[in-house]
Amino acid sequence: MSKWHKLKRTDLKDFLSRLAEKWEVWVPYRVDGKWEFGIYAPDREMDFPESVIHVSMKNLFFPKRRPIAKYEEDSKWSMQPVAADDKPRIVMGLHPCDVAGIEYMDKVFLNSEHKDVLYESERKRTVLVGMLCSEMADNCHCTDRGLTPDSASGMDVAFAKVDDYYLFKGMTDRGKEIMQSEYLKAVGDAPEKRKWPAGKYAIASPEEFMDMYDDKIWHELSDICLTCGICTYACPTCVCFLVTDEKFKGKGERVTVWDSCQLQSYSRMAGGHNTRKTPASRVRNRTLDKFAYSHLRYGQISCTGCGRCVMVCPLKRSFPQLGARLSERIRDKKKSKAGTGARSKED
Amino acid sequence: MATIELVPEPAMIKKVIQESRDVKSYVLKLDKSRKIAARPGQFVEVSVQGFGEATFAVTRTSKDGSDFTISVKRMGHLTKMLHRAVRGDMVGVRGPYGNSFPVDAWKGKDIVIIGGGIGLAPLRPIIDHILQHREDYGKLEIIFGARTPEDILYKEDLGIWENDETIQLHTTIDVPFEGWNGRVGVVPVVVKDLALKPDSRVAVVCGPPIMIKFTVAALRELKWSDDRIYTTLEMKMQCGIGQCGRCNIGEKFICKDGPVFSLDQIPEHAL
Amino acid sequence: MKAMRKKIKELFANGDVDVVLGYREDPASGEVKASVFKKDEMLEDMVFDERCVQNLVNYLPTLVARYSKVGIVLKGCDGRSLATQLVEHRINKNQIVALGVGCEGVKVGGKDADKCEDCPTSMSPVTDHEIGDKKQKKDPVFSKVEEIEKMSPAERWKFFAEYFERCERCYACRQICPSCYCEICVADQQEPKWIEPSAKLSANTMWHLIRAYHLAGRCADCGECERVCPQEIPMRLMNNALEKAVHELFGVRPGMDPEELPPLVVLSKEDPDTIMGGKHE
Ligand SMILES: Cc1cc2nc3c(=O)[nH]c(=O)nc-3n(C[C@H](O)[C@H](O)[C@H](O)COP(=O)(O)OP(=O)(O)OC[C@H]3O[C@@H](n4cnc5c(N)ncnc54)[C@H](O)[C@@H]3O)c2cc1C
Ligand code: SF4
Ligand code: SF4
Ligand code: SF4
Ligand code: SF4
Ligand code: FES
Repeated sequence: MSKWHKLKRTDLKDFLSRLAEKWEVWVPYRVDGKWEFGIYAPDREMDFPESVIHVSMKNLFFPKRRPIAKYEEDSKWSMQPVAADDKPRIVMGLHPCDVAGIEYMDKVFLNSEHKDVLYESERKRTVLVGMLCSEMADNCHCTDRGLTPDSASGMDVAFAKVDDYYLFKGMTDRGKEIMQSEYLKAVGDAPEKRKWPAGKYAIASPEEFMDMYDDKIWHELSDICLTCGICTYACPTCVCFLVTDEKFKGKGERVTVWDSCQLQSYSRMAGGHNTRKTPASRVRNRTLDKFAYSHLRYGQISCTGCGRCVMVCPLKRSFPQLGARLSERIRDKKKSKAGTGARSKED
Repeated sequence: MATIELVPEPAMIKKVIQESRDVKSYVLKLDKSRKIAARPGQFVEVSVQGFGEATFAVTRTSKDGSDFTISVKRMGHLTKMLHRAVRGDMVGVRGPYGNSFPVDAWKGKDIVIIGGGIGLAPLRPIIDHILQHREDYGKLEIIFGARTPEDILYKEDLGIWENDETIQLHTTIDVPFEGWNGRVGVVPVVVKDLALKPDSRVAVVCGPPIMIKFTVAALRELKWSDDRIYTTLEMKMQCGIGQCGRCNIGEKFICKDGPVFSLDQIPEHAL
Repeated sequence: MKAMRKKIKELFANGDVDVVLGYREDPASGEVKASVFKKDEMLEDMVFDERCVQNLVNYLPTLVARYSKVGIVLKGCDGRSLATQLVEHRINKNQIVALGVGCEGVKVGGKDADKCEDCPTSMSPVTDHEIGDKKQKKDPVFSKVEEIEKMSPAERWKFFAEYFERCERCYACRQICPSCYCEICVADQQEPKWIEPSAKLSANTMWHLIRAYHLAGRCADCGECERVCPQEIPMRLMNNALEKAVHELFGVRPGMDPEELPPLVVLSKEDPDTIMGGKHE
């Protein structure tokens, strides 16, 4: 396909400003020591981090709070769907694991039976300009999840940081339009491919995980977990939500709001019955959802190995380590062949 | 633009029926000319503007499909508001969603319907279907349990079923009640007392979780195999279309892969 | 540390405890985390130093449901926290063996923890065994609260609104708080729906005000809510403002006395009546 193109670092601002004439350009900013994504403005200092940042791309496609319809409060029925946004947009600086997260969200929201058209329009209006990682951060374990830190798969345009310039390459037709910038100069050489070390958190197969449902290990694995929701909010593939009506000064909105299977309220039904009352049952749901249910549903496990859940956990609990520990237990169980152990049945 | 599936369309309440002290039925007609073609067992999401939405089984569909009925037990936020609604009010409707009872595959079989309380609501369309295609099915036996006589639903239907010679109806209440001369005892006990034989029969069970659990145990004791026992499961729902995540039993979503399952399709902990 | 390990071995040997809640340094990562120690297990990894910030009291209710005797390592502030749980009858003291450790202060992110500034006691007010020294400390100064009090209402609102805006409603603050134990939290309640579930300024403000008020006179200032908040929302400021008010009105600091009921659940003739001016008659 097309060639790699060079962009001088000193030209970055001009390059982005030119893109901003046509697109809404989203780039990473550092605010109070934390990274976040925002719309490009020439007077704000921005940069591209080498590796994942603690917020995921999820919010840009499926916002935390998303109005789906509006109504007048003093009417019996006036609910009107919101209009989808179709302004062309570039999201620049996401990494291979982010792209994998988006691909997973596609499976949930864009299936032929029930399509989420608001999500679809966010996807359609966005050109994904992804950055190839130059290093794996402490919590990164994407290589254990079948990803490659410098793979451009799924991106419309890929770029890499090299010395004092960037190398860009258009991967799809949509990406090519961006490549026509006068600031990009064609060169022959591609960024050097690295050999990446395997991560430290290899896991068992989805089928093997399924067999762990009744194991007593869940109590142990949930021992210190707070069952707060932050790990799932940060996770690029956790798309659980609730639907609710919110009113303000006579105007009402029906909204979807992120929810989390780690919270008690997630499964509590009218009358108080809760199908996932104990922390152990909730930790089990999240773990199996990531490593088994997702695969059985969509043919892809829903952990991309980005490590965000560890970054944000108030107790620095390592979910990947937990998955690995569980896998170890699966292997032990197999070895001992007894395969029984005490069974717990608590929900 | 394509419609946003999570946004309901308006429907008008054509009729309100007080079924029991805390259950009301609503006959709904969609504002647009679209018809609701719900198969037995399917459900809809019904909204009261400003108060969210909740899941209800379609408990009857008119012959021409122009209107349909839901029965609502007063539980919490939304159901309370629904109970305040009157004829002529507007609500929102999405659906129908979910799979349905395999009534075609049951042709030629005897059917046992076992309902507890509001659990009779999703089962009534099966009865309606069988009565409309009476010659396709064998015997029909209905066991319906309510807490007290005041909790008995669908009294008009029960009267008709009672008088139908092709139906064997057993109505029971949980504990003795003044003025009640009928059967007393919880559903699982009645099932055991009747010593229902599996033969070439299919049993459909729906009710509160505890009732389902013990009724299933009773049927198993009577040597019913799991592939002949059907139930409709209940879990907290929001989207109804397999996206909000919460109604899962393992990898299956009750809203999308269910709510109807035969017992051999679900793990034991689902009960 | 030696004295503590020895004591705990002794407790295990005598059958006084089934498990001990303490701090463990993960040999692989070097991180210090809460841990449940069982007999003859991992005791050599047990630590107690300035990295042991987490208040372990929060885990007690789950553990006493599973074991009949639970030992717990307590700093001064954690001990206050335990005391609040005992007066609220959440935990039965007979199931607990309280191991008070003389605390020299803890560090968060490499710096002395803010909470240690106003700490009234280095030793838990509830102990069965005491290890190390007890240092009684000064009266609280609440200097940060006073700064806020000097602001005009508009400034104060601006100050807090900027934080409230950021709240993710992950409820880490609630989940780690030993005193937040409602079966159904007001934030989750559906009927009536007091607080909207979405993370936006109005609903977040409601959440924060209600949370703080529900802890007035009960919060023992272990500071965990603020420490675990991924958005660094200064919840101790709100807690302390109420703690200060309770201290001024009733002369009580929660958790200092395991016998004393929280001031806001008792009505006493001695209570000041700032609404009517004077004392209750
Ligand atoms: C497949 C299915 C069919 C159902 N059919 C009927 C029926 O025919 N008649 C009937 O009266 N009830 C039925 N229910 C139960 C009914 O959905 C709940 O009673 C109702 O959602 C309670 O809503 P609420 O707002 O009053 O309660 P709240 O406690 O205020 O609940 C708030 C929200 O949580 C969700 N929720 C709470 N409890 C449940 C629950 N048990 N199931 C699903 N979602 C829940 C709803 O979205 C609800 O709006 C059915 C449930 C399911 C899953
Ligand atoms: S793993 Fe951490 S972030 Fe996730 S629920 Fe538990 S305590 Fe919260
Ligand atoms: S892990 Fe939990 S919050 Fe995340 S997608 Fe799965 S069910 Fe939803
Ligand atoms: S589970 Fe953790 S590591 Fe896996 S995708 Fe989610 S946030 Fe990333
Ligand atoms: S921990 Fe922080 S972000 Fe989470 S709910 Fe509490 S205040 Fe909000
Ligand atoms: S109700 Fe949303 S997934 Fe089933």
